[in-house]
Amino acid sequence: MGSPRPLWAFAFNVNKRATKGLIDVVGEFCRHLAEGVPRLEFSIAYLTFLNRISNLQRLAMPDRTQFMLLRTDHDGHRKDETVLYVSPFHDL
Amino acid sequence: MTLPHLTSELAFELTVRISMFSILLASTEYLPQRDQLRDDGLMSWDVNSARQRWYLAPGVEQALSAVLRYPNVLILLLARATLAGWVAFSPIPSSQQVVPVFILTALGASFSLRSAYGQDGADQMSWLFSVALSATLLVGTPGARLVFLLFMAAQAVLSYSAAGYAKLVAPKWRDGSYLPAIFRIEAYGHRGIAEALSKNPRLCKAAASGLLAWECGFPLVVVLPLPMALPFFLGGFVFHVAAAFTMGLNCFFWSFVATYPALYFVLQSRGF
Repeated sequence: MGSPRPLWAFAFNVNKRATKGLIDVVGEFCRHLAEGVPRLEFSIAYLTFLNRISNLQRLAMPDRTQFMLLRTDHDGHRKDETVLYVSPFHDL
Repeated sequence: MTLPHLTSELAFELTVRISMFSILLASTEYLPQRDQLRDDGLMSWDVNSARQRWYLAPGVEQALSAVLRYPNVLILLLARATLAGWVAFSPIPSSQQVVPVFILTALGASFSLRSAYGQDGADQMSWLFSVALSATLLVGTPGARLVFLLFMAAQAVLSYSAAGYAKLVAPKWRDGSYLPAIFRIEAYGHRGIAEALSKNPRLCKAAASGLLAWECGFPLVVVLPLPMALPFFLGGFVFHVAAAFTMGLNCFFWSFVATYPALYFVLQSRGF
């Protein structure tokens, strides 16, 4: 975990939008992958998505060049992992 | 013990004003983090404007962009916060605040078109409240205000019970192992509580069982005598204070506790 949430955040929490937003973005991204959107179509139609993931990466990911997607079974055990290069200069 | 009597007028005022405070808080919380709303931010309008095909229809795109692009969206948020603050603290009764409520609902609808990222159950509750209040003030009769109170009370019961039964089907909620997992994540976590829970599975199970019992049992308030329903109110109050302190879910407190005067009034009206 990162730095602890300041005590006053119980009353006025300015960071929750960004953290929840990141969860939403990752969730949407995984959903699209799970739906099996074709690779080329994915690259074109979700060009804007790269922008979002870049934002996500810039905000939260320590490694700025890749984002690791872990796929798990229903019990939460790791099945496999996929490294997605999310810079706009890399093809998905 | 004699329980306080809540008139429909007071229940309506309390529900509206507490909900409006929640909207005021939610709107102003965006402003210190306004970088998120820029075109290169997580909630970029530049990105999200391509999200729905109809956003790009002739005329629609220009109209939406005029309101939602950065930095114009900051004006929207400021206006929403100002109107919510006005209704929350104004000496004028909420039942006479038709114009501010309508504008506020329109601003809320516009903002929700911009990006769904970062919104939570408190925002959903506030949105339902805004639409219901607008419809109520449009009709403008005491009967409509009673229907509004009934709707908000039903929404509280439905929200808690739906959340409870969604958890109940998960084995790891029932054995308590999700609790330390939740507190370990950065978004909603708390290091000290995560460490304490990780070392004490019995405490996890007891806390999770208490939460499940409270949420799943919440619909019992409908059939219990009012004095016996009050512990469910107290449980909700404690739950939301704890969630605000430990998970940072501060707006949930206001948007859900706002339904309690409505629920109290509805239960009191049964006569037992």
